[in-house]
Amino acid sequence: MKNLFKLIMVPAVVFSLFLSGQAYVVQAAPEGKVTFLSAENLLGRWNAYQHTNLAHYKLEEQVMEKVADVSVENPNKLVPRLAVSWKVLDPLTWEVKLRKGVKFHDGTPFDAEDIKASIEYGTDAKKTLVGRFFPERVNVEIKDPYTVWLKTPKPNAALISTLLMLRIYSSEDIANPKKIDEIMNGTGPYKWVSYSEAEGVRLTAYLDYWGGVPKIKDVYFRYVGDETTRLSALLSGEAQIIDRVGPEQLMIVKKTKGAHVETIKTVENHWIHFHCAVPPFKDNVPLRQAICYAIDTQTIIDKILKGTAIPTHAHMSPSGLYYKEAPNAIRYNPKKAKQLLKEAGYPNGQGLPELEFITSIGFYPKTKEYGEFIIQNLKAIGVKARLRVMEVAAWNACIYIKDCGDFTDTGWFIPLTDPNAIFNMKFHSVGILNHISDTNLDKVIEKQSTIMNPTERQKYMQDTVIPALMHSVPSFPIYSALTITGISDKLKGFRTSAAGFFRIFDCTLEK
Amino acid sequence: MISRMLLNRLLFGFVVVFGVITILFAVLRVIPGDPARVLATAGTDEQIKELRKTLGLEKPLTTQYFIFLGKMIKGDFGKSFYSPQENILSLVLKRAVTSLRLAFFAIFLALGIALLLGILSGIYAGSIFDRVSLGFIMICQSLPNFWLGMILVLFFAIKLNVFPATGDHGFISLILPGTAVGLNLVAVLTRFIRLNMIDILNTDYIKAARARGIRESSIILRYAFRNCILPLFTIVTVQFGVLIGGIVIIEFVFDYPGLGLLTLNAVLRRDYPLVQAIIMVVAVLFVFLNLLTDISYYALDPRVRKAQLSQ
Amino acid sequence: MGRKELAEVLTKSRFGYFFRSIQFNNSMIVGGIIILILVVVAISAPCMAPYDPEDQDVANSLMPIMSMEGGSSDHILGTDALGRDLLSRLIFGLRTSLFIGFASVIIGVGFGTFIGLIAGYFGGWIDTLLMRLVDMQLAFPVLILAVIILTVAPPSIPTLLLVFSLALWPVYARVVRVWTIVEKQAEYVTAGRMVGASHLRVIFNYLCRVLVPLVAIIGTVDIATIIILEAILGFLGLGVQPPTPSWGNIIADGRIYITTAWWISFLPGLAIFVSVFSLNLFVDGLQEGTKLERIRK
Repeated sequence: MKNLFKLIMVPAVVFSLFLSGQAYVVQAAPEGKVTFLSAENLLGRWNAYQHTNLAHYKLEEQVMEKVADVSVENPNKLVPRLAVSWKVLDPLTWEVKLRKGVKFHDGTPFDAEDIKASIEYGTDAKKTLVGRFFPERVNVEIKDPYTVWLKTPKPNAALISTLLMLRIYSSEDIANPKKIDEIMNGTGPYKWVSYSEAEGVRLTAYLDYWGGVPKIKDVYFRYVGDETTRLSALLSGEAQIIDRVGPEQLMIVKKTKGAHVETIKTVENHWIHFHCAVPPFKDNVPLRQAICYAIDTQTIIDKILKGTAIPTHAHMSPSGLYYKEAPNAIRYNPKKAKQLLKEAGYPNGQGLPELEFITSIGFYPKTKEYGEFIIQNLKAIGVKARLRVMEVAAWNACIYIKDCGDFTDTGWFIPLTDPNAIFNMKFHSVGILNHISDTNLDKVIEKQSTIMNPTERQKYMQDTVIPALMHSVPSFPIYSALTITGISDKLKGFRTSAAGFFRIFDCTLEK
Repeated sequence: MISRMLLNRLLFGFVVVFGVITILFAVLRVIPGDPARVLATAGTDEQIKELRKTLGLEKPLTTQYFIFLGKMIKGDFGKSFYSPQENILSLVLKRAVTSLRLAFFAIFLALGIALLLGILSGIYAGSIFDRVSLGFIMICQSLPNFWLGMILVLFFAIKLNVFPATGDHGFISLILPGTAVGLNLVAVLTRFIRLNMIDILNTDYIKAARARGIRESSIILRYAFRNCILPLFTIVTVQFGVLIGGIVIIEFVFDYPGLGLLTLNAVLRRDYPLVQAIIMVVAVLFVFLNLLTDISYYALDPRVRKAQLSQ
Repeated sequence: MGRKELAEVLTKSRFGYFFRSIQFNNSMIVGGIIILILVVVAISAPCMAPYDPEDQDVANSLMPIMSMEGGSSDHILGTDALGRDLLSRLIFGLRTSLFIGFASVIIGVGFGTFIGLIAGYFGGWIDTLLMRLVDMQLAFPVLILAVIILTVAPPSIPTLLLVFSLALWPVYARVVRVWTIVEKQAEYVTAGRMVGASHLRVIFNYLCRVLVPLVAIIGTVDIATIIILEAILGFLGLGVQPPTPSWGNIIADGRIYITTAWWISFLPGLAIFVSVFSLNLFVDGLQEGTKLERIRK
């Protein structure tokens, strides 16, 4: 009897130890710490619908989720996240099916109520900044806890892709806007811990994430406004990911062991915005065109940005949906610039007051250098301009004011490949950053979003919308920046999508 | 007599701090640049107006001033625009401590070098050592410290990788910035000590001591040096103020998370509540420092004392 | 006041023994010569500089110093990121620095001296009031005050002069006040008052004759202070604005190239060093020659 007992017990014990060991291996606890240094300042207020700040977008990507995401492999495909499928029922209605088994960080379960609250709040341009991406507010009808109908007053071909701008909040949080300002409560793989000026934002792995347990435990997001400092931190191992590596720094990173760069094309475009609501650019299309023809964008790309940017000849990034070079694309032509200047009423620049050109420093690489270059370009056609370089936060406050300077330099990055959102925000009255109010532009932009057939929409976009924007140039696209991120060699699996997002959830940290 | 002067000075100290705060308030409210715009950068005009009302910016200026004073008396300095959940005073004080660490390190470093050079060149005044040392001091005085900081980073942090280029990692982070900060101070202190030594060593008192046969080394250490200490204290106090000024740019070059960098960033970003809190703290510190300086001047210079009393 | 009277005053002044003789020494001579060279270069900048400092030539950017690999005699000290000749920019930067330095010292030290004289001479509540103002300003670290003013009022030459004058005047007000207090007890002053000289006459004819030279000697060294302060502000982007070259600007521009094109940041710093060094040397020599070093602030 004793022997039989031993015969059964020993293997049983061994087997159960083996099983528990397996369980241990499968549920490895997250470990390690990753620090990301951002080139753009953090705002200190966390409402995801009230800003267009890139540091915040990247931060939100770790903590909160949207209905879907742009695929890393194919920028024109969408991957399901909080929505599992969607289809058009009729031109005014989309049906969306939601994911089950998802929980917010504070424990509340995710369901259709949350989608309704988020979308109706987020698409309302009267309440939120992000609402300005949508032509009109979306109404959400709940069919069952995991099915909703999105209803729009006019057909909106780009609805689902524009919804990628909305991070989904719980309905309780939407009812309490003060809470959204103070903390991020999402469904994503990382959970909000704290924010302080010195440490930046602190996140920690959310163990109940529906997509699995993150492998890296702690994530820190900090703003460091100086590119040299960011680089030093990467090279010394203090930070694992740094934003915006400039052309000079590329060489240094390449030569250094322990770090490398990732260079990808995204939908970021870099613009000059004219202040179109005030003189001298108000209602003066030839003047705007003259300035654009005077700028030698190819030299900026080749000699100053040294290949870290590509040319763009339409009011969207070459990586964007339906991009095609405008038939009336503006290319460097000082003679034509002078001619247009005359047409604008300022022959050789006479009568034109000194223009103020606002740019930032420390954020995008080389803005000061090519800013000075542009000033020289303008001097060559007789236009007097002075450069005003501002620190990122001050610049961020200035560029939205309709008369802060005469024209400004900014990058613009919306994590969507469909240009509808940009057109609505930037070129439909009243355009953000350029304050343009042009009824002709309004008409073509509104029309393009209502064409449900993709082929027809593409044709209209390329034949009508793009040329109209290039003719009016309320803003001028000077280049499309490559997104260059500095990464520690110890961080594996890091990938940025064409929409400009990376997920630390996909990464592991080597010891 | 002294205590009445002390009281006087203290009272004036309050007046000064009060004056500083008032001027600061006026300047920050009257200048162009809308704090509401800073907070809600891309907001619509209506949203900005709402925010201004919430921040109390639509009230008349004098009302705002009294609200501001009232809050300050209670210790409420408001919230930093970019870090609204943090206690602004603890933020400022934490960063102040970090800066003070750097400042004290720089002072000790400078003092150490200055004592060595100063005493020796005082003793051997006129010699080759003295002249070389004076040349070295002159160079120290003339080097722009932020530029030196950059060069130090290039060599020791990037090329040789001995010290960290940025940040605060404890004592090792103090060395490069501390050298840059203390640079100009070495010059001033060395000159002062040297001069003092020369003066004292020429006094009858010392000559008498020598005649009595006391050992030279004893003379230097116990008599000459002792007399240096009090005036040295005075001059270090004065130079501390200058040092604090120089610390701002060094913290910027080294990304050292002290009060100087915080102030610089706060001003550049128009983070008005933070600027106000910092200036308040610094003003109190400076007034206290000036008080200390005045007391030591008064105690040490008989001409000033006589003149003061006859006023 | 005639020469004889002046000599008499100087001998009777409490500070008189400083003026008895000026001994020339090496420091004064060497320092003086370098300063002279710098001033000449600055004044004749358009002739001396080989290129227009704002002339961009992006194809030839980041060229090294002539003696290094890749350098050429076209650009002796190399070029910056936009292909502008560094030597020319340094020369024009010298012009800017010296002009701003001189002007600020004249305004700031002048104003400070004036306030100090009034405060020290009249005493009483005027003195207290003025010194409180001095204290109020001294409670602000100079750089922060400068940064606040320059963030608010866009940097232009007049604004910069204002900022630098503000940086200088308090210390001079204090020092001159103390000197005035001491000097006004001199016999010739009391004698003058007894004979009926008005307050104004005493201040401007008697006290100034003695104190202005003293201030001038000590104030010269503050040209160096201003040169460095301007460089710091330029480094922060708040000084003289681009494309006008200023040494601080150029150092800041060169910062991201510090490991590859180090000369862009290095050379302006060297230029600052030479200017400041020569000024210090000269003033040191002057002070030694007149035995003034004892009352240096």
